[in-house]
Amino acid sequence: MRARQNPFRVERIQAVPYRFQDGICWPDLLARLEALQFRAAIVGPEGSGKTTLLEELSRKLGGLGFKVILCSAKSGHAAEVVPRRLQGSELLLLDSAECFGAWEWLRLKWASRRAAGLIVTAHRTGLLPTLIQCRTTPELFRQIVGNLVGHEGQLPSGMLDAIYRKHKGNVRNALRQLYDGWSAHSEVSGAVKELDPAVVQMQSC
Amino acid sequence: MSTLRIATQRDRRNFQPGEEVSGAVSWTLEKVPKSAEVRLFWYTEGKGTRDVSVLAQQQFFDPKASDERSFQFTLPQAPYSFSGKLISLIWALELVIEPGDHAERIEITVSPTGEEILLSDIGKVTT
Amino acid sequence: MFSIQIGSSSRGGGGIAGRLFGTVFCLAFLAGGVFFFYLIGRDLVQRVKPYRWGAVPCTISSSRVITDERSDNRYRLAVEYQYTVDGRTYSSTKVQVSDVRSSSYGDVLRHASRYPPGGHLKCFVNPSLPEQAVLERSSLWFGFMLLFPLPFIAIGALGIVAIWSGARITSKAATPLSSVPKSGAGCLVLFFSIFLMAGVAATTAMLVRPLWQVAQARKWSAVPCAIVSSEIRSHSSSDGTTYSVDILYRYRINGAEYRANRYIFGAVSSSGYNGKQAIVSQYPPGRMTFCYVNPADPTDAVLVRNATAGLWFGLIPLLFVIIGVGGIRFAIRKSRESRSAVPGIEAARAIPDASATEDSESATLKARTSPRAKFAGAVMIALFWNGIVSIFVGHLFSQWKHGRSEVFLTLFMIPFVVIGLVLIGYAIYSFLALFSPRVALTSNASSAIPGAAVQLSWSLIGNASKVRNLRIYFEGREEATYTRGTRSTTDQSVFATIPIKEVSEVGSASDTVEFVVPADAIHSFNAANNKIIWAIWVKAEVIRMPDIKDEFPFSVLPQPMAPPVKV
Repeated sequence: MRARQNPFRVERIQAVPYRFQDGICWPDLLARLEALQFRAAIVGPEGSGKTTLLEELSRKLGGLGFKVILCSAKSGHAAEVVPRRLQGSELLLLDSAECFGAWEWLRLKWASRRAAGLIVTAHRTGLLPTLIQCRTTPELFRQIVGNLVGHEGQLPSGMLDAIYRKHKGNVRNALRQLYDGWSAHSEVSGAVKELDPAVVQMQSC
Repeated sequence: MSTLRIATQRDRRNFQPGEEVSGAVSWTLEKVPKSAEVRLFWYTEGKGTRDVSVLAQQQFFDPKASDERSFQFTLPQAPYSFSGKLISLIWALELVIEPGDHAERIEITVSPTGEEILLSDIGKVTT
Repeated sequence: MFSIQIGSSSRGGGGIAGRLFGTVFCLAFLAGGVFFFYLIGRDLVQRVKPYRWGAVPCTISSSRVITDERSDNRYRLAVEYQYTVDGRTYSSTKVQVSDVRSSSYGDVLRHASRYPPGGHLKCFVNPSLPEQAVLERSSLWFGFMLLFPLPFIAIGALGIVAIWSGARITSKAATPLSSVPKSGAGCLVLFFSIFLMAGVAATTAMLVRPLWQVAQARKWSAVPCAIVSSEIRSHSSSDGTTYSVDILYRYRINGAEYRANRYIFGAVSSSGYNGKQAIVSQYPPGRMTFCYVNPADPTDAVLVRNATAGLWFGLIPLLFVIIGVGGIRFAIRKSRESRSAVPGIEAARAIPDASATEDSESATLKARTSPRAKFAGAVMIALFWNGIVSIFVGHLFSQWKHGRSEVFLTLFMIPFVVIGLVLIGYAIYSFLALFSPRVALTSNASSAIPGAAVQLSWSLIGNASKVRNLRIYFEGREEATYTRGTRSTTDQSVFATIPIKEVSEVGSASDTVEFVVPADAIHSFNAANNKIIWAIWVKAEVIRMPDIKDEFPFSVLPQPMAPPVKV
């Protein structure tokens, strides 16, 4: 199996759209965001789709006429992310806000106090009012896998559930394990239609 | 509605290092673009974060809203197109028009054999 | 596919207070730069003027060195000469636009020797004011000094503009696949070049030149001399007061009297007063001693011609050279990684044909990590970790000793202590590995093209009898790094393993083997996140010692290119 053919390669995983749970849809989310005056946090554990949702939200908001600024707090310094005070028409979307310490968070809030809004992703609640709690389910994981491998692929749901539990709901890591399993299986059988649970389990060790 | 096209001569897709790649691009846009160029580059796909490297670009001066131009590049010595378990390296030609980030891309293969090198076929394990 | 470049933005000012502080800071740079630019420019304008003056014959009436106690450069060249313009005779004492001064008597004396009394030369006279004349036109290389204040002016001006105009926050929407951020290597190279130039200039002045002079002075003759004056001169600056030795002595060469004040080569002023006092005490005025004189130039002399301990200070600027070279190499390598991820495109030492030539140079292959580096790293990490943990453990021990039970803290510290013990264990293991037998590899090249035969000589360093199951093999593997947010993981996958040598009992301590790089091998590849790595592995079991497991990187180059073929 060539890396470019692997359905679980990085480019395909990062292109997976965010899937809402509990019947929520985009109009609901945007309405809630507006009710929170565009200052809110997307909360969830690792691999639950926070960054994906933030990126899609930036497109939606851009389409509504906002001047969206999408940044990452990876550097840990507010001055690098927001070197100047934001204007009233600008909306800051900040990924991995938990990278900021208390002081940098205060600096960021001060710099963005006149901005149209501030939306962050974080592992914990408390930074800003919660817009949505991202979570994953085994069913969601199965859906994502099914979409990635297409109708030709058959993946035992029991195996997928086991992988999902092993990674404690971190869909990103679970998909990366499937990358190895898919790749290994194609070496063994030369076919990409089925995934042998034994091969995937071997790869998971 | 915008349409962009890029094609190599005789629609050839397999090349060897050092060969010349030539072809033609055409586009039809609603407005006159600010810039139009063709880029020769490679990128990776697989389990790692993508790497991209632009080797050469040819800018078209005074592009019109509807235009047709030709391009020519000389391929470098390396890297070759290859695919392994974790990484695939893919060569491509891309027409990029600004503003609006219009882009159209075709993939080509560059290697001494003209075919993508499969890492799994190299040096089988022997005991 | 939707792709967003999540960008970090450039630095800029903060709130009003920050902007004001930044403005004052930048104004200081700007003012200083403009001030020095003005001073240098004004001096340069004065230097340029004589270039428009005509040359007129003149006669030197006197030429000597004058001591001016008011200046740090106390020795001044005083020349008097006469010239005639439109039938009228004028007299001048100007050698150049500004006085010729130096702290070195010998330098000024050497300059004076160009103007012997009674000599007939040419001087340059201002046509508008004939009473203005100079003997020499000053060098215009001085004009390059104008470049030095420019960076300060740029920092000051651009900084103020950036603070008040606001920095741009970059955020990109979906872009063509081939759009990549440009490497900022150019700025880094310029920045480190400044370090390098400063370091080279200082090292040359403080170390290289004095050492060269010391070497040359070995051939100089010892000449009797008399001390004329001996004193310590003080130099005040913002950093404090420094002192230098100024010993003036006279000597005779071929009946002519000369004077010089050089004590040692590479003398600098420094803060130690007592040391200088001791030197001056050794050379009181009137004392007869010996000096060393350059046979080619009697004005060039020195009292002590040996290299002195003070020259060690000349090593300090080497730090700037190291920083500069290292920084430039880092910046260029980073830039090259984005432009060419394939070795051999820039430069290579490789076997050009499929078969190696017999007289190829051999190369000692270096393991990716040496046992010493592993040991040093293990010790540093263990010291660092256990150093911090020991503070808490010490506190806990003290508490328990005084009957105060800190159960929670004790339980909390257990994992940290366990990790610390593991680190100590690994440091001990690494220490033992220093004494394990090791394998040294030499090859007739450190890189090769596919299909090339590579000769490998291996030798066991240490007790070969303890080594079992030696395996040497050539391996190709993929490495892919995935970064998302703050997380980064690297996966590896071996795609090729070519056995080179396998022995269960190692009979001889060295051998030469040959292996062939597969003809269809992919070249090595090194991009930021994705790599193809070829390496020679040496593995062996060692009885009662850490096993041998060394990786020797080896580059596979792309095939030599065929002539371009037109499509």
